[in-house]
Amino acid sequence: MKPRYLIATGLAAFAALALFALAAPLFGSPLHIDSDGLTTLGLPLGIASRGHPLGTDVLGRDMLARTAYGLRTTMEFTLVANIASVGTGTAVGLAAGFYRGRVEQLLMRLVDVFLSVPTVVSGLALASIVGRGVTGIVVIVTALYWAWTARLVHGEAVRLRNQPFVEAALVHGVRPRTVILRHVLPNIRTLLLNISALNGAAVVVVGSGLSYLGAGIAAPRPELGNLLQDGTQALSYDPQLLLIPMVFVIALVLSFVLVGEGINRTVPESERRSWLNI
Amino acid sequence: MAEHLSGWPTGQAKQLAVRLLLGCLTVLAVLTLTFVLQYAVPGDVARSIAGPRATPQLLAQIRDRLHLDAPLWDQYWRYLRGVLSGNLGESYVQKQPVRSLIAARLPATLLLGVTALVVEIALGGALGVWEALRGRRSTLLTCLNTGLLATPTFALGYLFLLVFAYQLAVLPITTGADAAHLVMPAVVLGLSGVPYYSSVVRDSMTATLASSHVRTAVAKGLPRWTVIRRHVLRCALSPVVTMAGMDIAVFLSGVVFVENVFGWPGIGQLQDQAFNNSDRPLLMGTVIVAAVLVVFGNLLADVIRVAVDPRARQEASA
Amino acid sequence: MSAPVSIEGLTVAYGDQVSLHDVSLDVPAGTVLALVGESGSGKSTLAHAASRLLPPNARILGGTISVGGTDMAALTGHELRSARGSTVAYLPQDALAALNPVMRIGRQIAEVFTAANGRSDAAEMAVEMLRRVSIRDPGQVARKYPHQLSGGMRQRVMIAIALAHRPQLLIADEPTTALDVTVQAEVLELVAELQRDTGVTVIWITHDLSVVKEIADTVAVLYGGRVAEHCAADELFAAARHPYTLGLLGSFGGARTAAPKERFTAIPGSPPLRGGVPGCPFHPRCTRAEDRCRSEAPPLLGGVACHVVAREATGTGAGETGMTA
Repeated sequence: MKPRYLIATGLAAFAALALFALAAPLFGSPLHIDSDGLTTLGLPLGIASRGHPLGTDVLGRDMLARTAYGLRTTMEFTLVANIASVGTGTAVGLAAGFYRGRVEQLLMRLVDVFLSVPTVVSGLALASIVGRGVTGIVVIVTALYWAWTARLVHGEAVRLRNQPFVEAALVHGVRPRTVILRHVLPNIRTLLLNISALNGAAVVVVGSGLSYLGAGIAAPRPELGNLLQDGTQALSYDPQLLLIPMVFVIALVLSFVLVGEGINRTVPESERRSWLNI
Repeated sequence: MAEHLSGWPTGQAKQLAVRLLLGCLTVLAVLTLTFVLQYAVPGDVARSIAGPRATPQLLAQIRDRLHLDAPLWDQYWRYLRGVLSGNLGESYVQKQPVRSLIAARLPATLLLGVTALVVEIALGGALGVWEALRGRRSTLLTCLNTGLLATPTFALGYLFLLVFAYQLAVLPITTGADAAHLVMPAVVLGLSGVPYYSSVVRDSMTATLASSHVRTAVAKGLPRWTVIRRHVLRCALSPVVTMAGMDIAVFLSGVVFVENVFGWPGIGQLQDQAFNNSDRPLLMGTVIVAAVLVVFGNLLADVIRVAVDPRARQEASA
Repeated sequence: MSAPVSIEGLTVAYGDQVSLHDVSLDVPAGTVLALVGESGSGKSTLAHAASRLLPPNARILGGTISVGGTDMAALTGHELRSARGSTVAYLPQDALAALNPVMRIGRQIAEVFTAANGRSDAAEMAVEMLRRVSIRDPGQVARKYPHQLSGGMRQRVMIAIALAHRPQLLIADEPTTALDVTVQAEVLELVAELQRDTGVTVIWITHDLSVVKEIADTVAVLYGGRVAEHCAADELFAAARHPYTLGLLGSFGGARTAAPKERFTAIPGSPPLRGGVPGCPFHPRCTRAEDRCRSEAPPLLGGVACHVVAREATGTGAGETGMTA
């Protein structure tokens, strides 16, 4: 499939989700417990019920509003955490790549340490200190993911610093900081776009995952992760409470993944041919 | 070029020693971080360690036992000594040493992890090899991989639960720790890594298929499958092993979700409990164990890679 | 095992670009033909086509490659697989890349034998092959990996692999180009000796005329995907006729024997791109080119493909200058 279509589809999906999230206030309050929100047996209303297009949850709250607000919260922290982690990682990776020496060694050891502890495990540990809420989860996710970007950017920085044009600039006395801004950043644009897309996908997964476990954004504020947690309680009789937020999480991650795949494929693969087929 | 034919050259042992040292430094850094997160946070340290339900007597006891009035460096040194001698602290919430709690659960998680790794390597490897031999990208496979990438592990777990346990009633719903209960969590955990694995295997195989030595093998008149088996697969093996080492970290993350969804009694569940009970010592204990496992896993992957690929031995001694 | 080789009208293309046009050559059984040309002349393509090791994007558009009666160009499937190695063997330039890096040397040679013989017999036969290519301590070497050997030894291993099958035709594709001069001489001598012993017919590809002097019985000069000249080796050095060959000998001789500060001849211009031009491929650089050369590719007559030379040889006065030899 052509890379353009992948990127376009991904961006279109993202835009659609963003629109839905922005339109959340139109759907009413996610916290309001509707007195008619449950059936006579006390069970949630199903999809396409009157007044509740996506039904209600176990407490009688409107699912459409909850899902829209949940998506909104998820997208909010995703954007902030993505920019923060990619930004920090890029800064560290570039600094390590161009300042070299002790600075490089120290920074890369730090990267190794952060990459040695599995993300969710560290996430839970950090969450116990930082507490819940949007700020908390942004801090945690940034702390978990900057190192991956740093390592990739550092690798590219090392490759670039050995290029003749960079050496020439440095020899002429241009300060490393200027070299980075003017010569290096334009060259790592594609890499950064690729990283941002994949990082975005990871941030959504970890952020919603932590909220699902109770560590990130907690009830009653809806977020796709904690909506999933709520949904598991009704799994055996009303699986749609789980499936509705799941569809949105998958759609959001998919939009990032598609963009990332598309960018990945714009780099032309050298024409390799198999000797088995002669 | 003088090289011992039997046994490993000294350069290689030196390289492994360096990696081991770096691994130890990493663990030390993690220990420092966990120390800071437990002992150097603002607020009452004793309370954060003891948990929300601590009595004043317990708090006093903890302050005394852990020498919380001593200078920070002193506490740090004590902490390090303790951990390195195997004492990971005490969970006051569950009233047991952290070490025994973890030790009791670790085997289950290791079993799950190893099974999932087998699933991942077998399926990912098979798909990667198939796509490489085919010569063209498969749209079906790309869709499958993209779908797997886009589905978080816990979402995949619930989908499996809904389909196989609730709808099809093939696999059990209730929790347990036997073989029947192992199937779904292992498959789900393995599947989450399949997209990465299959693309690494595919790329490695494609590169090998285009190499000069495969042409030599074809020029010898060898049958197609002999060429694939003997000359292509063995050469494409190296990156596969390295990836398996990196997988340990990813799995240890995924395990928390998978054990949660399927009720598998491993350290993932333990972490979950620890978090929900504000059991700081237990939580930090699991972080330490996880870090050690990751470092160990990476070292093991390095050793295996050197054992499998004779070129790596040469690099090491150069 | 001595087989005559006859290539007739061979045309090969990579995609749409034709890289060999209607090439015809023959090599008497048990002799060595040197195939000379610059990069882009099509000599490697010829080597790959004859051994049926062309990359998948290349096609043989027409012609035959007859080796002792078998037409290599026409074989497919199972027959092709058996013919590879046993009818025609290929010796590549880069021995390090051509050997499996994770398999021991002995096993890579023994592979050739294991189909017909048992595992242990094959291993012994492999060691024997190593001895035949003058490798000292063959038992030890058989247990090593390719990266542990020197360049010269690796090339000997490749020779062992190529000759293990007892092929009728050996195609050596610049096997000494990447080696040091002293090692080059050893390898050349080895191949010459083996050729005498086994009587295998050899096509040796090279761009280096000193190699031609050492080892060749006959020579074919390729330019722009066509044969420019084809004659016995001594004849080439004594009485070459094609303008390109003369230029080649001039620059070669000059480069080797020129006194300091003495200018030596080079052929002006650059070699043609793949795909070919109408007419004689050499005409843009030829000092003797005529109108006819621009439009019509000269046929190979009496061992030379040149309108001017052909005209001068027969004495017909159709050219502009109308000079007789």
